[in-house]
Amino acid sequence: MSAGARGRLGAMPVTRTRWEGDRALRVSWGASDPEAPVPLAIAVRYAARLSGALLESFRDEPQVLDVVASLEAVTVLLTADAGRGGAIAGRVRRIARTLAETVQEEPSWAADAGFENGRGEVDRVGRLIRIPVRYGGVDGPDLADVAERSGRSEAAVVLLHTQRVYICFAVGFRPGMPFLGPLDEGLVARRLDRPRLEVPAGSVAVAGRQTGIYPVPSPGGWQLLGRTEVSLFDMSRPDASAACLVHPGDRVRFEADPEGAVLPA
Amino acid sequence: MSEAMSDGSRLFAICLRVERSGAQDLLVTEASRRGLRYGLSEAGPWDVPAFRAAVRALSGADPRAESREPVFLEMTVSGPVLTVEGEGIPLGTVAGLAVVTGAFHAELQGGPVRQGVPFPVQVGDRIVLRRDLGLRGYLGVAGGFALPTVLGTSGADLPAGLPGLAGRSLAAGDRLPLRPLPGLGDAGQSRTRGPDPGPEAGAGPSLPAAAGGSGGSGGARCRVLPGPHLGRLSRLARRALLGTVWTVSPQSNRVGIRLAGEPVADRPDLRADLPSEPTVLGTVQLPPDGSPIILGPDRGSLGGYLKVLTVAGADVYRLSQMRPGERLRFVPAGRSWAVSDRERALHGDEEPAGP
Repeated sequence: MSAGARGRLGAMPVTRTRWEGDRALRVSWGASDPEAPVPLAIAVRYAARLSGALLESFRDEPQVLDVVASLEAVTVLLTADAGRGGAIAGRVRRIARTLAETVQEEPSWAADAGFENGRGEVDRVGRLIRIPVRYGGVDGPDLADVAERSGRSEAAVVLLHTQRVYICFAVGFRPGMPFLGPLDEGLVARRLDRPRLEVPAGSVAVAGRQTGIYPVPSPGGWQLLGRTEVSLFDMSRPDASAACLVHPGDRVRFEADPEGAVLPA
Repeated sequence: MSEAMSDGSRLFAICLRVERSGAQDLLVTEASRRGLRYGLSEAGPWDVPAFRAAVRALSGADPRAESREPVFLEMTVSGPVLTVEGEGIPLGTVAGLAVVTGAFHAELQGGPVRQGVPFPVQVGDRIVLRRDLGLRGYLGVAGGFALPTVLGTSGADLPAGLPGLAGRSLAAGDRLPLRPLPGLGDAGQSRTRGPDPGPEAGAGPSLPAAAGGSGGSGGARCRVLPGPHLGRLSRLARRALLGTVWTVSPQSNRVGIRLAGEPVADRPDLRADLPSEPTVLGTVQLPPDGSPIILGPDRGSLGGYLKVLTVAGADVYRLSQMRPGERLRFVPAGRSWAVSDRERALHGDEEPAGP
């Protein structure tokens, strides 16, 4: 890997594929250079791409039950009847390594999820989903606090939150609950010391350098910027894939909408 | 073919009506929604070998069975009392075939039915499900229970609140529709009581195998493989984890088995906020309080605690039979053994000694 290919991305992600128990394969990644940890923008992108590529590769493989993504690991879960899984492990390892190299070869500006692809090309990662949000007021009780901590006006915070295209690198804790990143570094958001006992469904939240949406009322420790009416998980659909709005690998853009109505597709 | 309404308001066919529910009667299936990636649970039966024993026992009775992953009833701690209802159908009409596996057995009017032996289900029957040694069992019916599907299957996903039956465990008054079976007396046709293959009075139920062996004062052996974060523990902590005889806490359920014992002495970095990552069935987590949790089928798809071990082979299923107060210890095993052990257990083979 030439120094030029790294650009300003930092160290190349080094992947490890290991069995977790006897029927799950865990791919994790860290930095080859301890002085330069894997940037969040790279990790987010890698997690999203890897889970998508694995799901696609194993779409018709009966021994693969599921592929679950997260910021620092993607796990391939095998079915109860899976055998030794040697061939599957080999394929997972190859895909993980190939994608690590591809992530590295992208022009540095494209690796930052904060900018859309200026060439008008559709990102290989996934669909773009627009989420209309009513920011502030009763819908976003923490907007004022985030603005103060960030040293900006509430309007500026909304702008920072909406101008980025985020990548979904994980879905979990509740059906359809997306985890997105990376947040603009100018937005200072923290976890609450005491989580709220109940966060309203549709709440759009931030913490650290991540942003997400609570699909259903649940306890929550993130700071709430606003609220959306969009359904993140529709149980009337024929299967889980159709039910879930934001998949790992999809891109999300928030749009300030005073009415909070769902925008046309 | 008619399917009965799951809310029981109209009976088009024969059903099992819940007179009294057990502690946690859950409709389960191996047909997965494949939704862990979207935040659903893995769900499904926990003691898969026992579940499949029920499937095998009934496999001759429904020619359509091969094309369907059946929905059976998982019973935990205490079982329900069920009556066989068929509106307008004469008493004694044979409605189907059932079997009980795992740690439970059925009692009909004539007496107990041996575990694992199929018995006919007749309109008017009162079926009492009783637990023996162990914790979980399965009531299977030929063809499975006929319920509406949500996101592709009828099985329960308790954390998500998805059906089987309104997303909760059974309550008195619930009705479980049976699929009408060819040749066993369709709804509306009267049949006199046919030849009775069971019950065998006095034949006691078979004991479920405790995880890894009979236990005793050293605790049952729970075979494990190293977890992704085992290396973060100090050697002392690792020895404590593997050397302690842990006790199953009453605060255990399908989400996970909590273990009580001398907490594993932690280092400050054990309290560090780990990024959440995917969990697997049998993951042994070590939270900051030092008391391990073994994750079950209703665990969250993502978890942020240290993953120190992973339960191996069919022990992930045998754990489902461990009752509060029982003890276990973790025994290192190899992956090769684990794969074979799982295969053997799922095919219903005798369990060899193992490591």
